[in-house]
Amino acid sequence: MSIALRDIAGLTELLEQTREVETETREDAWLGITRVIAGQRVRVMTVQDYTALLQFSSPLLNRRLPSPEQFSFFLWVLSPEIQRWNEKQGWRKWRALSWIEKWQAKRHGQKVRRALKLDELEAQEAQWRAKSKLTFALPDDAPFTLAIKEAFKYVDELFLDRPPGLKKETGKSGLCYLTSWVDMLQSEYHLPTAEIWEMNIPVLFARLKAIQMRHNAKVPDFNVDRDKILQNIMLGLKRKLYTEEDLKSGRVDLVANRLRNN
Amino acid sequence: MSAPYYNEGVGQGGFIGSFSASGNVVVESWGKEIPSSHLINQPDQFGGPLKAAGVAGFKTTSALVQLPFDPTGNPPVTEIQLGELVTAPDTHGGETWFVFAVGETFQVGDYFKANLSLQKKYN
Repeated sequence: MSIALRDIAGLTELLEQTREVETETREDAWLGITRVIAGQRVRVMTVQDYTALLQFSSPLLNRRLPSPEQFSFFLWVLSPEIQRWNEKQGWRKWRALSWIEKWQAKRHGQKVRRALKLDELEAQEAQWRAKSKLTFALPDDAPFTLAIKEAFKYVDELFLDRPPGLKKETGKSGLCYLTSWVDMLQSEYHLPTAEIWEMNIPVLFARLKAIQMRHNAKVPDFNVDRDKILQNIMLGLKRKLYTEEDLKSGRVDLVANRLRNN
Repeated sequence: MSAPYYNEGVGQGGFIGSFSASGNVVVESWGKEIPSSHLINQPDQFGGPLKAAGVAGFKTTSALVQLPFDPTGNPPVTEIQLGELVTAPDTHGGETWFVFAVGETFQVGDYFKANLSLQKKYN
């Protein structure tokens, strides 16, 4: 049996909410609105930041758990202060003062450490290790855990509009991802390389997506949040967590993707 | 000549189709094409109209589907096969269709989509 999506109770409202969040996220990316993670201001990631994080294999780019050092480095790379150093704003252009950047990076790391209450967490871990051989699990309410969740959300939103690729890509081109990005944007918009280098990642992805859709109408539209909801429903039906009748009658919690308790 | 059959823009215009081999698949957009008609015109000796007949062609449709992805499955992505049958819900005509062309599969992260071409099953 097939079922129309509009007949699934609560789905229309959920998709509407998702659409609003997506619209807001896309607007924020164009406006370059900063946010706060672990008490530190974080800019919207640029191509330059992305490359730097990739060079240092930042696990956050792949949604993997970082060490406190990796997390602190991630926040420093995305801080407004390092951007001022990169642009050599004001007195930062004087070489004799370059030691201040290192001092600021160290101070930034200390502030992150305090905000995440890492001393307490490390003490908890030491206690755990003394009495158990099992791996220490981060408590759900620890500031470090909450900050990592925030960072994952930030990365998810950045990559919301990454352009679709073919599933069976051969990788024969041998081109660096940067070459492909710069080539596509310069072919269409004739932008200087420096401007692309400093472009916010979501803006870059949105533009690449627009180019792709203009040239190939068959490229489907992806909206990750909406796709996730629909994917969950397909999985729920496949794994027999609920039936189509349950979906119609509103007995399914679409966010948790399971039958409601009552 | 074709026209969108039902599309509200945020996804609720689609349906979850029960495909004969692939199971439940989200059909995001369903663009039913009006059956093509074959006109048989017989002119007179001056080329003017004498007789004419119109015959309806086969109904075809196109669809964009989100392919099921299950990280624990083997294979994780369920591809649609040629010849699979799917019955549209009553809101979308309630007819049974078979897949006669499957386009390339596009991917963003864990999400996979493909364009399908289908024709109505007549018997």
